[in-house]
Amino acid sequence: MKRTISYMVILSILFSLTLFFLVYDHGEVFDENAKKYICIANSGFYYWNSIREGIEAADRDQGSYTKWVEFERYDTEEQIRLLENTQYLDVDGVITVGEPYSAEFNQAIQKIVDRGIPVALIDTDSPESGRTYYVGTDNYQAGYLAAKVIADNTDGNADAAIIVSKLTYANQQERYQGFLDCLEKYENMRLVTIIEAEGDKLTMQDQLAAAFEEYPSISAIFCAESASSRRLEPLLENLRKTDLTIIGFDRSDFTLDFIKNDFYLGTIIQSSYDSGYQAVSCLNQHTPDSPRRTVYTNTTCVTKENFDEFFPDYGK
Amino acid sequence: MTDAPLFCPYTTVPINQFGEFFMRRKENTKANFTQKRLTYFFILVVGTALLMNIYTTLFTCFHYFRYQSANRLIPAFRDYYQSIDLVMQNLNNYLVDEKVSDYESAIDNLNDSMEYLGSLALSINDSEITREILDLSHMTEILREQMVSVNEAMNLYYEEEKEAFHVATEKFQEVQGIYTAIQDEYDRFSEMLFEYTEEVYLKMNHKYFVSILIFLVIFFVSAILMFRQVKYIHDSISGPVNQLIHAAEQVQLGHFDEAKITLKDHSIDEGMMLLIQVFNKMTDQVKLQIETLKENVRVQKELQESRFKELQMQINPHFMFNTLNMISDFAYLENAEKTIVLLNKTAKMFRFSLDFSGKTVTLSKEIEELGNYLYIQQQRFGKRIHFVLDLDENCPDLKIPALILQPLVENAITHGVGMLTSNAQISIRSVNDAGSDTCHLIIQDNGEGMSESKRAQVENEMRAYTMQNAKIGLGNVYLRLKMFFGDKVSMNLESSPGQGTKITISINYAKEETRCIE
Repeated sequence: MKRTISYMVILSILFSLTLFFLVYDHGEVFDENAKKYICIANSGFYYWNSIREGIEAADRDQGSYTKWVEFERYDTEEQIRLLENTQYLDVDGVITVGEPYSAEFNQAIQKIVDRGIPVALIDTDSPESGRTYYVGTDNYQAGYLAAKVIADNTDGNADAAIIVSKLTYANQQERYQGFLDCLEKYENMRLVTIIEAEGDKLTMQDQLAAAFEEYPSISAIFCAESASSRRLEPLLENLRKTDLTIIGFDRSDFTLDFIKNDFYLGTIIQSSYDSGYQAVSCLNQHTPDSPRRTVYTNTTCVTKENFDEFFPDYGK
Repeated sequence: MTDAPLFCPYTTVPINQFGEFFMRRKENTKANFTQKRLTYFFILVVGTALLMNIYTTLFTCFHYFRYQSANRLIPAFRDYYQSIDLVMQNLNNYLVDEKVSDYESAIDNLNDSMEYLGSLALSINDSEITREILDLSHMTEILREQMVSVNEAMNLYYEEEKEAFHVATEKFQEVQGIYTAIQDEYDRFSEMLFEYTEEVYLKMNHKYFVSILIFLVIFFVSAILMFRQVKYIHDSISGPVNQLIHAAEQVQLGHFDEAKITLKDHSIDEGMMLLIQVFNKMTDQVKLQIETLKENVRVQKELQESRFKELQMQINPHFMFNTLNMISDFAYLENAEKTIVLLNKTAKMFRFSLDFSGKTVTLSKEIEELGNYLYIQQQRFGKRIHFVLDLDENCPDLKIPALILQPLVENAITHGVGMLTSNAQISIRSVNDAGSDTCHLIIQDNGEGMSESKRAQVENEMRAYTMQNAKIGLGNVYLRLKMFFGDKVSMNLESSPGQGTKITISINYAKEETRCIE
């Protein structure tokens, strides 16, 4: 009798606890002492999702809180207004995307920095703006990696071409330099030409045609820019060049499809997650004396072999 | 012979046996089975109700209240925003109309908006919304500071400082900047609130679904457990009741052996257990009494039959007496003296058998009457058979059933010495064994005797004799002796081939108690 009753008591206690945990939901507790950041993000780009994941992970790990605000793609005016609004907010740091060719943008950033609030730029740098941190792709490493993948797949025999938007752009310059430095390590590999597409389809087509006329031996292309990477296929088909070793840049549905169709050997992807994570980490470690800094995140090359590892759900 | 009933209650049930029963019942603490099961049942009912209540309370606390407060968020935020709008209108009026009352109402509106914001902040557990509310209140605070500086500038302006109005306008532009920032937040925050409300609602729905599942589980588990308890209670009472009914039916049909209830396990209500035990006892008693009754009826019936036979037998002797008297008269007329003596002896013998058949006589009378019979037989067999009568004078004159010795002597003549042509001897002896208060009556012949198997067969027949048996022989004598003396008498048959047969009747006459049959 006593034993049975004690069994019953234990059972009901267990049951009540299970019930409690099933029902209990304490919600999220906002720590008012946590550092409060704001991320003014470019809406509509797929990789910003990864950036957001990285930021949220860093917040969880380091106990900060980042508010997420989006502006329309390319709407620099809105971005600047949102940046100016931060003066009325209680924030300890700002994360946003750089806009290298806007003086107003630079001014807005400078105003924030002047108030003693650190600004971390991700994805694109604006070196003139007075930003505190830039977290972005190591472009040199990206170029180097592309050359290495080409060399590995051609047994070190290739006449390579590189497509950039404009060689004067800092990131393009760095990618080109990395690509070149790697090629020089192989005896039978050389860079035969540089194609400057200038972000324009027609210019690129002309440049490509000219390059193939001059150097018919071209057997590998590194397309060091994401816009060009998306447009390359029809242009090369027009020139009847379909058996080249091509490395693209960035992740887009086009480039991923090209890899699946064996048109591209691979594409260099930037680690957006890392840049988000690193940006928050920088702000969390920031002190008034911290120097301006550039933080590089690594890139990887996605090929058909490791495709499922990176994009397990793509095309399914 | 009397008609006294033969009922003999050889077993009596001591009344205090039931008393012991009740004593044992109190000592047996394990037996309160039904009570235990009822307690379990009660605990189950209360426990289930309690669990469900706890769950409902938890659910209400965590989800329903949260949902209700989430529903109040959007109106509260709209109120906040409208108040801020009024602040801007009043402040604008203040600058245009330069009336202090406008500023005062603007401050009032601002306080209202802070209140709405405060009511928003209550019962929110979403960090995104909390952060947003913090930002909004921060902005509202800055708005207040700017308003105050606008007012200060306006006050200076009232004190005839012309440039102060310019300052006030600049400050007002600042205020408008903040207002724009708040407007920028408005859409985003509204959307966020909608999402939050929906999320809370979905979560509540989900938990509601889970809770229904849990309720079902609790309900089924406790229903099964309760059913088990009810079944236990039911079985502990109705099982035994059914057994009792069955047993009672068996008793009614007279199948006492099947009426016995065996208790299979201990999961029986203690009252029922007692009832069954009492019932078993009762059945045993009834069975015993009915058996006794049956035995008595059987004995009565046999007695009646023997009486009937007796009556029948009485008819022949009467006819025979008349005939014998007539023959005796003729013999007297013919002077046949030997015939007269024989006829007289025969008549005496028949009279004795007629008068005393089924009655008791003294041993001496029995032997005297045996003399008549022996005389006749002596006359019949002459020198072929020699009768020896050897009587112990110390033998008490016991009362014995009549006609015990004669059939034995007749047997000895017919089966024992009948075949011998000379030197046959039949001895009738009585020996008193004073030490054990026993009188031995011995009838012995020197006839052909019996083999051991034959002797055993005869003895078995003798002991198995019943009144229905028509033969009057050893069995009849034995039965009558047993009926009269019971255990006090024994009858032994000794024989061997060629050595003759010896029948010993031993009667213990020690006076201990009165017999049932007298």
